[in-house]
Amino acid sequence: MNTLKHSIKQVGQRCLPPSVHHQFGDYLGYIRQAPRRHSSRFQFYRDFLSYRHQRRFSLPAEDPAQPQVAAAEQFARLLHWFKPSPLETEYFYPLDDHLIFIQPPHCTSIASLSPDYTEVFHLNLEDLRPRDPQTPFARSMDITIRSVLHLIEKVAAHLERQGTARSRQVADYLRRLPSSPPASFDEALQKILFYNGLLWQNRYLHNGLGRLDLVLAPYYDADIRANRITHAEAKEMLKAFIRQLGAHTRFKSIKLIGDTGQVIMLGGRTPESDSFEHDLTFLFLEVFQELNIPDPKCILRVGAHTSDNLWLAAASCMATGCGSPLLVNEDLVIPLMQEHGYSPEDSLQAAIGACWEPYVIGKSFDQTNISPALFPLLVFTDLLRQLPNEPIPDFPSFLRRYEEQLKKSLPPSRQTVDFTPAPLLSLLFPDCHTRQKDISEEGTRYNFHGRQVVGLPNTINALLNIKQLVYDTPRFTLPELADILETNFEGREDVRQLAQRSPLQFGSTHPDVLMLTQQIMQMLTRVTEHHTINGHKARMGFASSRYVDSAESIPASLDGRKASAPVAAHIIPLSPDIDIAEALDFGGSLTYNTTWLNGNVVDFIIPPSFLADLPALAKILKHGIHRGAYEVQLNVLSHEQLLDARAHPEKYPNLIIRVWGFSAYFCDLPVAYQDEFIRRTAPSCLCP
Amino acid sequence: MSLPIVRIQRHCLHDGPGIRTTVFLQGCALACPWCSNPEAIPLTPPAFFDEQKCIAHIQADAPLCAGCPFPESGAAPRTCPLGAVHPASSPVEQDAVLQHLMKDAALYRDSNGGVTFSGGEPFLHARALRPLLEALREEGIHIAFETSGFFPPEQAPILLPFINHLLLDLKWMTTPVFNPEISLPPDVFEQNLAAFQVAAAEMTYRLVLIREFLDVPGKRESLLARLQELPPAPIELLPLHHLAESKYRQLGIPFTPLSAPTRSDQKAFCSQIKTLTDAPVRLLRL
Repeated sequence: MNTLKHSIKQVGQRCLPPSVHHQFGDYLGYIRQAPRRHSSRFQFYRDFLSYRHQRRFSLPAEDPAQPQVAAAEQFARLLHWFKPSPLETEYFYPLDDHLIFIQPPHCTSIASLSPDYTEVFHLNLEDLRPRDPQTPFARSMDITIRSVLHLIEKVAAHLERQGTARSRQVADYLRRLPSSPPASFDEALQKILFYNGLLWQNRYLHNGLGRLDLVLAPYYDADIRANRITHAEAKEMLKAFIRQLGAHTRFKSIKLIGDTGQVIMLGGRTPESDSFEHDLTFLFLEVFQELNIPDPKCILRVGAHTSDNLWLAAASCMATGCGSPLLVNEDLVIPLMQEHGYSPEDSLQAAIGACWEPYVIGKSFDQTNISPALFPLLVFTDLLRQLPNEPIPDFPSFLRRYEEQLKKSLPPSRQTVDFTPAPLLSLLFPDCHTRQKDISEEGTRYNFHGRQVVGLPNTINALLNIKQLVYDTPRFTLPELADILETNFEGREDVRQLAQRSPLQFGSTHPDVLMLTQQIMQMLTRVTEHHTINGHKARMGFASSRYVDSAESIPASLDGRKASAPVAAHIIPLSPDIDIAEALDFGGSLTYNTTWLNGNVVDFIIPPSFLADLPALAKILKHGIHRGAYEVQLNVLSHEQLLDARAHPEKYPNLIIRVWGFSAYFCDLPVAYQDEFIRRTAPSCLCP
Repeated sequence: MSLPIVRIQRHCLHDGPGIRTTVFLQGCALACPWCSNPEAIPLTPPAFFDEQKCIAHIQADAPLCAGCPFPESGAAPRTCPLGAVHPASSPVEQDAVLQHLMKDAALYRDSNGGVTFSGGEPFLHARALRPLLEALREEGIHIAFETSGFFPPEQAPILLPFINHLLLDLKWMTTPVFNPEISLPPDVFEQNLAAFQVAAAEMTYRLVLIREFLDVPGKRESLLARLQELPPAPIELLPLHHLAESKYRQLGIPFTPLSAPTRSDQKAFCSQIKTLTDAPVRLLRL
């Protein structure tokens, strides 16, 4: 396989100019890491060859004078190549996964945004087209709008020629699309899919859909009132819509298959109502429950106002194990957003970005997972190395030394990131037109970027162990522990076991655990207080993804974790003795300030037997949120089932896992992630 | 005053109405061979020894375990630096128990649930429990007791005024197997049943279904006859499960390999009982 990887890399280098081959390499890297379902070597080679012979790459201009204009021209070129095919599904979706948009080098891709489709519905492309495009922004808009209009004409003509009733109807929808709001629920769905497909075609990542129950409600209500559709017909339309979004999961995924960030927000407050719970809110949940597919995903905004009926609908959907919905406590998140700098009115339009990160639909350019992430576990390595010369007398002193070292290990406090110009996204964000600026140049009003913190639960367990083993009931000195870590617990498995089995574990509501966790959260708040990304206060959270591959470079740690082993992600209890009640209590006991805005999800695995009483599950989740949990996501898995799925993948083609902020088929996951879930569900789950 | 707490389990769905927190207490007058909480039977807490957690099982270097007699001696060690040995229960102060139980007060109210005391036999701790029950009643918490009916009859009046619901486990699969640490009068069950009947608490009967006993000729008929003699109340049938098998191993107690009837047999027996009573009969699946 190494030879194969090498040859793939070489092909990438030969096929593409040096400035872009690394993106191509990323793309191939993704194929390597995420073999398709039930993959065989034959399929792997077939995929690889298809990249060489069937794909067409739209390359960025070399050193463009006007990057926005170059980006618009690149997009226009891609749409020019777009060949309409006959309509085989209910809706037209402008995404050809053989056309690959290559991002310009040295720029960071844009991800995890959502246009406000209520506003998009009323966009008039002709009106927005600049009369005299002089500025780079105006020129980029002109090129983008012309290319979209050209595509619409091309596709509509093709669909008319196809001649079926549905293709003619969709052609009619497309012709109305540039200048008229939808006239029906069906047309509204088509319009969303049209723009969403274009965003993916242009290689923006993690494209959110926004609050679709709220956005679609007027069209649904009007059609139902006028007897143009029935509830059942609307449901079928939604199913076709969801299937369409989920039809290109592989193309849309970033790191692992399923990591698409296609978020549909449901429920929550509006300026007019304390709780938006519409027929469509329930209908979406029913559709997710019935389709039971991992992509797209839905997220439900909940709070004190949420009705018991909606809690039950949410629990019933979660019980299918599809990973949806993630629950977001808007009573906690929205006030924090306001404190962070979002206006009260805008914060009501909160959505979740890639995984758990709140932002404002249609008004945020919040890039919430910008590298580099923070790795508080790495601090121990440097700190413990310095110890033989300087004994540390007590645990508070140790914490102070840890904080000093943490401060030194952080990336520069002022981080600047260049983002890829994004004319198509700018077209869909009204702020960009008002400011006449591309979204990548802060065309929108909110630009609060953030970072992940990797391995925080392990850090807290390591500190708890140092407190216990070195200071409270001294059994080791710090230099002794440093040596044990240095040798990756070689010859000291007893210490590793001791560290793993401490009764004080992250996720427990023991006062010592809660106090230390709060202390570390405050410490991270202090040391990053002046950290900015592009001039705006950086945010972070307990939620971190990629807990397997990002841990490969982390040495052994005093939570009993061996070098390179996966770290814990999110608020996941690290002991089998911590049940869902305690995990929810723990998540609800932490104090989240604005630094911790980026997502703090309680992630729990419940066994299938838990699902016999869905009303009870609904109430447990409801009270967990009422008691202050920030976000909650569930997996429904059993250890035996996962072991069997690993041995006989053909028996479990539809077994879904909530991996981090996304769900995927178990059989699609790399072996390291499969192993991690098998370990987590084990009756006496311990760190590897 | 402290209570010998085996464990406190939140979010229980089968220990009375609604969502409940169940408190398992140490000590029982019976020693049923199918007991799912064998660690709660002796009055003095036994120790669990989890061999899987023993470094000898992992076969690794362990300077911390130098001097441990296991596995050479064959006997379970009394202590373990790595936590492979731990007592089945420990005394917990009433205030701490109350604080723990009140965590889910809102959830109890919302689900018509509450707190259930089980064990072991919770009535064995009547005097120690009474202040806790008073406090729970003051907070308006629904209180249930899961009991076998085998405990000194003088204990019943101490607690019954505070109990809203009684889950009476009918130990009728065999003749009762007694814990020799506790002596009881011969008609203890009848005496306690009479006390339960005059109490204001609602009653549910529970019967564990074990194939080996049910298949004994005449057993079903005698069970049905005895059930008919009871005052009418809902009946819950609990097929035997083997969730406690590892606990027997860790306690060093022989595990009796009994089994549940087939699902169809469970349903058939459930239907037979339904013909005898107007009260609800429910077959639980744990």
